[in-house]
Amino acid sequence: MSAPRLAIEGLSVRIGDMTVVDRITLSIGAGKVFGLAGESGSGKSMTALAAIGLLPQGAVRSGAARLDGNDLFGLDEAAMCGVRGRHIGMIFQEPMTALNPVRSIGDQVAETLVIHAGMHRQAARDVAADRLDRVGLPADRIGLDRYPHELSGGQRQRVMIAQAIALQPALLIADEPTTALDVTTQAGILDLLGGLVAEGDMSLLLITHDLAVLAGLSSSIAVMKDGRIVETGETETLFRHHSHAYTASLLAASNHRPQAVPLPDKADPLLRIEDLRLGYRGRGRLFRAAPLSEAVRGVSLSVDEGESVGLVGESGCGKSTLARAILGLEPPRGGSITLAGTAVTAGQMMPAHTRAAMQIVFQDPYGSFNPRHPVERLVAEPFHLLDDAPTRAEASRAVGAALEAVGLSPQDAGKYIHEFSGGQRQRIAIARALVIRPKLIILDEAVSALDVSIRAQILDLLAGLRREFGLAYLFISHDLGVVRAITERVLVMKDGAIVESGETERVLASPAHPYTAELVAASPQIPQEWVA
Amino acid sequence: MLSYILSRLVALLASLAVASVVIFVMIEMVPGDPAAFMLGLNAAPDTVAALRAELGLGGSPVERYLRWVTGMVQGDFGISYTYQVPVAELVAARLMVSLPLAVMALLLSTLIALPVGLYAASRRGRAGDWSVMGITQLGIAIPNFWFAMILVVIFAIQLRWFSAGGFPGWDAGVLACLKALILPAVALALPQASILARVMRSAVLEVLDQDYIRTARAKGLSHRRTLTDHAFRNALIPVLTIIGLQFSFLIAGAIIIENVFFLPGLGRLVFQGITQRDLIVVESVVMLLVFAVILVNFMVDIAYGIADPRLRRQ
Repeated sequence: MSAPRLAIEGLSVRIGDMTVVDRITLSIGAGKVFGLAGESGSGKSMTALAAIGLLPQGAVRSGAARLDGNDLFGLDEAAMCGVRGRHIGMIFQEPMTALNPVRSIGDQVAETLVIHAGMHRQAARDVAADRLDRVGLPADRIGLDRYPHELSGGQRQRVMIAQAIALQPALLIADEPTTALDVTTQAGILDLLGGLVAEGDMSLLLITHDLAVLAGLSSSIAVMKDGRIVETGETETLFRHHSHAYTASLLAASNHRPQAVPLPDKADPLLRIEDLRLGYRGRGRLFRAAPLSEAVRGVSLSVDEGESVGLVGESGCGKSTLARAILGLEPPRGGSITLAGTAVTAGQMMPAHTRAAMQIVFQDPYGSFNPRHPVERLVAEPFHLLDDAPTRAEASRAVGAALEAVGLSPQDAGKYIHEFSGGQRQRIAIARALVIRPKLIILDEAVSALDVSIRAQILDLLAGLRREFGLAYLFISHDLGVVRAITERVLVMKDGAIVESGETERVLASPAHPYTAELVAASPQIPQEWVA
Repeated sequence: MLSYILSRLVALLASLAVASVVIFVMIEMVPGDPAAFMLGLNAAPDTVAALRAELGLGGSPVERYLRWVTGMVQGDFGISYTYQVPVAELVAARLMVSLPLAVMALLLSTLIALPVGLYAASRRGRAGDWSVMGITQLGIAIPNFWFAMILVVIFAIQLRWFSAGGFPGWDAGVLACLKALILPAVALALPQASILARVMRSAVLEVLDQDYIRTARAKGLSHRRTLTDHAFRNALIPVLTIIGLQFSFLIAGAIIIENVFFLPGLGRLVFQGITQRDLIVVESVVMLLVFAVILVNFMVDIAYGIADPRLRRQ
């Protein structure tokens, strides 16, 4: 039997006293897709960076890695530069920041050819045009002289792939290549990666936290936890007969559905939006009117008290603009918003009690907190909306109760936000939303940045809070699985308009609108019979 | 890119208009009547009035402002009260010293600072970085007039390579003039280069943390090529801002160095103008300096556009 494409043997990575990768061994066959799965901090990315010798400063690796039988760890830095980009290509998660903003995409793809093949710039650009064409960016539509900021996230990720495969490397490492992308864009990129492997001899090491992505693509999977591979095997076998409890819990968490919340028999409408139009004027030119871009064009919707409604759609469809308008942060260009009978008006005119009736939880639990304030002050912030502001002691008690409600302890009030993990921060964000007992909480991609097991816990928490306090949720997400788990009704939004709405189960099971069908088809799923 | 340049140009003209009003108003508010000052304490009131009329100090402020601005647009800055020569000539002669000095100092500081900053960033936390940081700290801390005097002691008095001061005039030949400007340019450049090197270092360090640097390394670029091909241009944006500020400062802020080296530059002209209530000179030079600052900012804006394609389509 010939040597495997990539063989990693007993690889460990240590940073200071911490072992972040602990004696892992894996091997990837030629022309195969190998999936490396695990949650954040499990050591997946460190494994890849160790293989190509790009560990962060201070990290020390031991063990061995061989590419087609050739030792990689014995090479010096100069020799390793000759391997990276030529024999091993790598693409990363953040397509928005992984390309140099001041150089054209043609030059960036050509650079791989210039440094390894010694090509002249013009010849390299010709090959680059061919590679960009291969990844779905034909030169007559997307010129070589475009800059990264002129492209969408999906297009940038395609440029990344083009420069990684420019010299047809033996191995491509893709580290969460689609995590930051919309589902349909993700499906396109995964198709592309699969196609590249199928048409040649290249192997693909696909690193992801999303087991469903691997189900359709990889031939083998290794599951990592705390720096170790806890289970490995062929994809279908691993899904059907996983033996390790962690694999089982990952699978369970990714399909987790909290206990259903009984709806009140008769509910009053809480939020009502009619024919809402939102938009902004672009910059005008001399003697030319500023172009009007409409982010939301004529949206009508309603949310009843105690109801959980999902709003799905891809980035740029107007979801977040709509959320801002509901909160009274964006003046509408037409239509109306009423919350519990009171009109929502942007600006100072809006009564505080209307603001107090709704709160929001954002995607980024770290960025939405002031890092210099203790949790007590962060959570107590919404109190200024109340007419009779509570005394210090009352506020402190309410903060403690809110923290307890989200599964933290009242003692956490004195800590600062950096002392908490991502999941705990999101709990604090929910506590902040909860503390003045709003009627409606808008959750804008509130669980998208969380690992599956944490996400499952937060979904349980949200369901429990709803049962306890009779909250209504407007749950904005691009993840259909999560929307299915936590909402009764769903609205599908595209280009600023709602194209389909109805009961979540029904809409997602048998979509009426072609766009909904496209979204459902693009969502990676583990085949039912594998996990049954 | 063209529309970007045009928009910057509009901003330039608007800034100039605002600046001219502000300068005019401020000079109006300065106490002291130039006519009375020139004629001395015992002048008769009607003599003062006659001189005022002759100097163009009569009429309403709006009339005077318009006269001043239209004159300037036509290149007529008025006649200096004390020197009795056209201000334009006076300023032009001084500019022939100040401008080459500023350009030399800036070139020197940029040529030293950018490579040094890049080097320090690439050796972050190691001996090379520490020594650069130490030397630049010293360069910022040393007063430049003192450094200038040290230069004079070593290179003019001991080694006799340069003269200790004075300016031969451009008639004496370009080489002789440049030679006379070298020591002052070095003295001016030292603190500027120290600041710029530190800015460059931190800009490069920030860029080195970016994802696209990791991408470049994954493509097989060596550490050195990553620095020169990817980090350098991205780090230029904050550096360009500082260079622009430094140039503006160098044109007018060299008074002390001009005094140490007996150079007939703009800084000294302003100083004399103020002490002698030669307001028309002060007004014109300040306006000229404002124009220079705005022009430099305009050029920095254009340089931004060249360095960063994201800024071009605004």
